[in-house]
Amino acid sequence: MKKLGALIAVLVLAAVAAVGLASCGGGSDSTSGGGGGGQKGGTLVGTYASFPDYLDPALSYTAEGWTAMADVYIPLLTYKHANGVEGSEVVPGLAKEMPKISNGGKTYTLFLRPGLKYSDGTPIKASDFPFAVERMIKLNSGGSPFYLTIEGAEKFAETKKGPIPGIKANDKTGEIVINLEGPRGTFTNELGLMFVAPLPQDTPIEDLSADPPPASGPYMITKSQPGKEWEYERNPYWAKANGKAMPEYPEGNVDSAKMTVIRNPETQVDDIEQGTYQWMQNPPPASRYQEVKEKYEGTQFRTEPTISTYYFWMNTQEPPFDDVKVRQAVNYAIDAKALERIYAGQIAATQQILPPGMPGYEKFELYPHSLDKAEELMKEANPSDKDITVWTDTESPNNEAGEYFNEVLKELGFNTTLKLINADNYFTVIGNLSTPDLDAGWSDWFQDYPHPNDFFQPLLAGESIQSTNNNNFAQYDNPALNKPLVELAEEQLSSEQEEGYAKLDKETMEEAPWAPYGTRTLSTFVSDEVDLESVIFNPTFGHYLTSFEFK
Amino acid sequence: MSTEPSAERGPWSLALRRFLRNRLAVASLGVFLAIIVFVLAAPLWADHVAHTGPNKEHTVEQITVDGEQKDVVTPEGKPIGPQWFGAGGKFFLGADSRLGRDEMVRLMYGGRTSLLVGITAALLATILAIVLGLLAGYFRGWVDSLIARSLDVIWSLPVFLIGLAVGIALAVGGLDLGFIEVSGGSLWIPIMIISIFTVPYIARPIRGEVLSFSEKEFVEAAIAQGASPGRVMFTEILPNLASTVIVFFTLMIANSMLFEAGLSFLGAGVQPPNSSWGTMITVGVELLRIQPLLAILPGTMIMLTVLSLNIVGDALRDALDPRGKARMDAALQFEAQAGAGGGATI
Repeated sequence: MKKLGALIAVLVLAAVAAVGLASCGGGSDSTSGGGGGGQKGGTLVGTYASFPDYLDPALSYTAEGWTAMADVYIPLLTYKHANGVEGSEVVPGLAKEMPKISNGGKTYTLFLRPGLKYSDGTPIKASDFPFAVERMIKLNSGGSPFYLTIEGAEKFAETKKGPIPGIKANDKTGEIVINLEGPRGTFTNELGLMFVAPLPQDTPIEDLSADPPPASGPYMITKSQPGKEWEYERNPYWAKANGKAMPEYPEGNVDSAKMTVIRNPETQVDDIEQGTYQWMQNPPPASRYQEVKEKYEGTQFRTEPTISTYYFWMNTQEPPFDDVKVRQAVNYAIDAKALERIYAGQIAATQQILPPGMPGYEKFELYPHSLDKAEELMKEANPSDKDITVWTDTESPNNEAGEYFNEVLKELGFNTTLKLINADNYFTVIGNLSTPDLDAGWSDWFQDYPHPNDFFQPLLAGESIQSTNNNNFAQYDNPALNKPLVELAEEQLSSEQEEGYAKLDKETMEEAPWAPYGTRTLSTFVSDEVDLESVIFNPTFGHYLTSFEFK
Repeated sequence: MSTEPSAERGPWSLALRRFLRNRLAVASLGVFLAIIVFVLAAPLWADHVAHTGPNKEHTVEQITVDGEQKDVVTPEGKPIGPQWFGAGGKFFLGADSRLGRDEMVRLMYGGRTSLLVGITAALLATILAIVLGLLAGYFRGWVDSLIARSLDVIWSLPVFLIGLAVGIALAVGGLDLGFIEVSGGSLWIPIMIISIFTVPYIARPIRGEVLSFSEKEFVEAAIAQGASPGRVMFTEILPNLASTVIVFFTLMIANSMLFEAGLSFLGAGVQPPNSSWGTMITVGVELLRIQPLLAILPGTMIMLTVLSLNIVGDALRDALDPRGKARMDAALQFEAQAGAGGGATI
């Protein structure tokens, strides 16, 4: 009996060890985040400092929204689940393979993977793609300008009627053919954005943030209380269908996740330290940044360089900022060094539209800080309208950056009113042209894809000015920019084009619709239960939910 | 030879004597007056000692402290701490935030804002409450019903939450009623919110007092002599409300300041870059771990002001009307009975 007992004990131990080893082997090989030694399952409890602008893939155009939905809605193409430059690579998503580009760069042909299903069991069809494009345009999404080169899309945007003739979809074969008005070198990147992720065709044409549409990714959003919290569970059809059809896409480690909005980043840091929450999407507040970095770097904290531009915009259509001299004066008056301190070293000073790391970036300094020069230009311009409203959001340190900007404008002789808008809906408010007094304010931009067009077309091209979900806050419409922008976007990126964008960067800054001041470093901060190494920070989508893994 | 003082002195003189006998109240009045002097001296300190304004930013500047150059804000974003007179009075209490504004100057100017909002809101609330209380208590009937029930409605609301929601909405869009236009950042927004929501706290006891006074002989005599309702209300009854009004006004200043601090702390009161003690606490809370004084100082100023005003208010009540407490209780009881009777006639 004693021997039998020992044998049973050995067998039990062996079984436990085997189960343990099996669980350690989970996760997809395709992730480049390292780790992989953790365990599957569990609930990730995370926190955001503000609720995403939308929890609707067609509408969201903020880092918060894209991070929240990156593993929920998969477009035909997507970005590789990897950190850094590798994460900028476009790879097939719901499409079988990368598009076949023909007809001089004007026709894109893709095939949907067979057997895909949404989280409600509805089969994913090729015709869901044109539906998603039409839905996005009907909703006046900020992403619309990327897709207006599709044949008939511009007319559709005006009339909001009829199918877009430039997209043909065959549900039987899964073939999707997209015809463009002209060649567009960035279109592959743009097919990888969430705006055009296929959705079931009975999805209402309205903001669905409170009841997000069915998912195509490994996770689905099961509950959403805008402004407060949202929850994820595994998509039941991922293991049955989608995961089999796209085995290279990570299935994720945690079984569920709950995200809560905690508006005080100080509290977020305390909660992570105490293990109440396991991850915070936003960086620690400037007041705690150095402390957290010194204490946890390498174990629970990691800095994440980004390709981003932080800037102050000025409404070029209305006085006083319709005068280039006034805008140049503002650029001279802004001291990027002061803003580096306001951001506690989390931004590096720059005065250009294109940030370092973006193809086409060539450093120049048109407006070295000089209050004297600024005042001289103001004297020359002598604007009659000096009453302006300055906009910023409530999230630190953007609120302080807004206060800094407000004070700079006061020093230049303006009568300013500072408006602080809750970060949840700041961009919705300033992106709505019916909002009164949109004179000047704070904004930022993180790359959607690694192409300089992304920093010009949605933000500064005349065609991007739209009544709602507008991203061209400066309302800048300059033919000298619009024309070369279209031409440059036609071709694939080459050194010649990079030179073209560098020239455009300088020429646009000579017109000074913005006062750019820095490029941001973000971070990953997790509790000690989470394997930091496994967490992926993608340059487009931020932290992937599928990459989180408990130790 | 001596005669009884009460026979010679008027009621105000007696009240003053009674007040001066209360040492705690006198000390509190001293504290309050010192605070007033402190905030009134703001421009002097700013111009002649700190050499800066309340909103002037010094983020990248350096100051010389005892011969040593120091960053006002370090490259890591840490604001300088109190320098006392090390830099000739500059940054006496340090810098307020990563914007590098002088904390002492902001504390002084912030106090002006807090007191201005508190006093103006209390004044408006008191005026409104007097008018409503007089109308309700004198006319009774449907006028009383309408006013009393309206006050009940305001009283039954979660005042602070509604004030917060209204404050945030108006801070963004401002107020435009056609005949009145107030911009989003105006101090009038917190003033209006506070005064409207605090009216019932004064109007109800005043109404009770008016109900009580309107049955007195001197009022009946005035009516019998043909005095108009307006004359009776404003020349016969109102002077008799003076002690109640003075006491409540004092207490309402303290209340309004607390209300303002709460609203400003939550972003619905005084708007940046203007400072008030409430907004300064908001800024200070973020830096609590590295510069705790930034939150503690404005908090202490609010506490001292409110505490001193409350003690002075209580002492004024005791001094102006020694039987006031009993009478106030009677008035409230009277008013409660009136309320129970549908607020019509007693």
